[in-house]
Amino acid sequence: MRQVTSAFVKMPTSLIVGIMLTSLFLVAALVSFLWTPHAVESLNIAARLQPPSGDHLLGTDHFGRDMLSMLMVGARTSIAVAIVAVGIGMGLGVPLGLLAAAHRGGWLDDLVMRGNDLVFAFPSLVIAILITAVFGPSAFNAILAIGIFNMPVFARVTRGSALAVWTQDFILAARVSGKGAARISVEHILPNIANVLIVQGTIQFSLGILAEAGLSYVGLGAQPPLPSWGRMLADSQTMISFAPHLAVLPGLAIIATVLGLNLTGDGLRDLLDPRLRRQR
Amino acid sequence: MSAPRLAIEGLSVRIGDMTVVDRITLSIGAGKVFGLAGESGSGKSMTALAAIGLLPQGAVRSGAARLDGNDLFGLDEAAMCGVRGRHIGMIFQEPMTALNPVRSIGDQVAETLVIHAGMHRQAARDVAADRLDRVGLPADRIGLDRYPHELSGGQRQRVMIAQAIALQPALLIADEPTTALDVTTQAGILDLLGGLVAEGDMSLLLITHDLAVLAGLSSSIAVMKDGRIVETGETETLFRHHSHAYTASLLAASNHRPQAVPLPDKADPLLRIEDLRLGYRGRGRLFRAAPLSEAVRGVSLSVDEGESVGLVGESGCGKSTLARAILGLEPPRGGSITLAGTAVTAGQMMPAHTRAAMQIVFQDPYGSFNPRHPVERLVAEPFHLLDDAPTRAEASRAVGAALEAVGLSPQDAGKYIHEFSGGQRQRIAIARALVIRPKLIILDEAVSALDVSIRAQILDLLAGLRREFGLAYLFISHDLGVVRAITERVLVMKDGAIVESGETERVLASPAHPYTAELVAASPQIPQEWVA
Repeated sequence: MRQVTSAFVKMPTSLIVGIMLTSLFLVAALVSFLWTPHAVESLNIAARLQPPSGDHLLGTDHFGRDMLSMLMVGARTSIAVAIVAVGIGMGLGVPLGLLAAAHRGGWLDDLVMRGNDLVFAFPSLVIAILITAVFGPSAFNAILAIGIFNMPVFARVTRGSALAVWTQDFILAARVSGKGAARISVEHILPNIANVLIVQGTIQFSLGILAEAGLSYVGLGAQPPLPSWGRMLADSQTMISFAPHLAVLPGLAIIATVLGLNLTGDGLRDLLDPRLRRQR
Repeated sequence: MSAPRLAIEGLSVRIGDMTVVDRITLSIGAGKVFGLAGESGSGKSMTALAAIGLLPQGAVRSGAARLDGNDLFGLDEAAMCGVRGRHIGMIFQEPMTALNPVRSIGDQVAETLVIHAGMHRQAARDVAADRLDRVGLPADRIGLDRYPHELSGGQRQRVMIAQAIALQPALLIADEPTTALDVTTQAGILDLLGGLVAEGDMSLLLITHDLAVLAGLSSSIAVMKDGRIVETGETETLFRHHSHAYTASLLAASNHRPQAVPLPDKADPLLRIEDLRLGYRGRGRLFRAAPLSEAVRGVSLSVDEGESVGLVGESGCGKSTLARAILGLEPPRGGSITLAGTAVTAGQMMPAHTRAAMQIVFQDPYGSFNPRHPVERLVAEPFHLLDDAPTRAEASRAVGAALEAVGLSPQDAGKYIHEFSGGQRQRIAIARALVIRPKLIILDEAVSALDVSIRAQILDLLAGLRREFGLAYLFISHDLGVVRAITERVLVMKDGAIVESGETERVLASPAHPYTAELVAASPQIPQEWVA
């Protein structure tokens, strides 16, 4: 127990704020599975565009749906899309990047990196539209499209940082100890580029939420009646002059989540570095 | 007696709660070379940076500094910018990063003239050509339009000096100007600096950790320790009659020789290299074969069990490539390497027990360790080579024993590498090499980055370990003093070939090859009669 508290005390402020912001939305998303103040599918045209009140804490939209409930369920979609998309990107991109770095200068390196360039060369939104056009618009297809475009980002960042680590003497020492490229990549390279990957991961996570919002905005993401922050933004744009809270609330939710994730990423990077850890 | 060129009075520098320079007073006469000696962290660089107002953020200075009687500390940043470059020039240790890689050397030297003297660009280039000529880079051989990457380290250092003396400053500050250079290059740069001072009115503040460099160049010396000047005086007097114990220990450490290790009567050959060739193939062009650059050209050598052999040569002579080949990290283009009767082959094919017979210690105590792993895991890494990997408890005991053997405590196993000083890190590197009891340890410039007193301790440690474990060393170095202290036999390498070999004492005392003679002559020496 004492260790737990001392670990908490040593945490950087940015990490604490970041975790608090992020978990606020995570908890909201999880609670929405069990309970929401109002059902998101129930329309009540009579009670539309209400300002915040005791019954509707954040007001209602143009169909009379409760905004708080919409935001909670929307968090589910947005966060799930972003997590899975980053997962796909990291899961495929990092090993590819490590592979390319281990065979730097060889044909395998060329193959991986040119493949990356190929994916990079296509405008991501157009491909996402293509995928959703072929397989039909849905949250799942949005995830797939965003995830594929995360892959070359991670592969590139991984390779670039790994190359710098490969030149260090301790890698030579590991080779003298008979360790192969795969083992060195996992034991020595990965821990030393983890900080870069974490930061890149939180950036991609934020971009994932934004990308999902963008796809939903053009109607290719989550389909009605499932709410998502991007669709809420899209639906509210015609009413921005007389019901600004419809646009401001999902916008704030996106900003706060992205900010929370970035702070968490920075804080995690500091916490994972033994050099910074002991000094605190 | 005229006013001193640079007078520093009661200078202190504080960073936070730490006093890094503590009430220093010194004065440098016009046209004189003043040596500021001390080990890393003694505050010698901070003293110079404080004098010219380039302290890092957060550092606070007090006291006074005067250049030719004019107060320097009263000047604001704009006025100080006028002083730096015009009246005070400065050169740094690292020639690789001190020049802008995307501008030609002529432009970089001319820049000082354009900024400070308001010269026209063409006139400035003419003066720049003259200064580059003065530092030994004549325009007809090294053009003004060359870029830094086209020059060697020594040539870059000359460009930096040309830049610093472009406006004929009253004072030149040189912070470890030759530490990153080879001995023969170092000798050339020191000659140049001495010549520049001798022919004009310029004063030189030479900051170095190497007392031997100062012995040949400076007229007076101040020795710094922990931010204070512990002793100061005329160079020869200081060497002959130093009064402070720290000066004495520095002098002793720079000439330190560990107790000789008795050789076994009859030793079996351990490492045998025959006609080894190594090289890289460059990138080929269409219809043209890739050019071959040979780093090692037909080297043969042998190391007996328990023997310590030195390998001496300048950077680029192929000694590190040779070391990598011995470790099986570099496939040879020809010839053979045998270690304890087994052939060394590059790549995964090499049997683990052959690899386990040798280990390496690197030069850089900072890059040699994965900063993310605790010391226990770092030191235990070579256990990977053993067929029957030891259990956790056994490994942990062996790591503890290895740490004790190098003078650390087994409790250090739980710490991370950044918690150790450079000397301690080098001890951990030796512990890592030692932990699987190899027969041969390759020491690649293993003490070059260390302060003299730490270096002396590590040399003692290496000698002691050899006595205890019967290790053989291949000691790669450019420092003849260190090689003399720790090896019985020496090989001199030049351009990928061994030009001379034999007993260390004999080779260094009466070199047969002109290159060896050049190396010996270029090594800075404290005259024997000064320290006797």
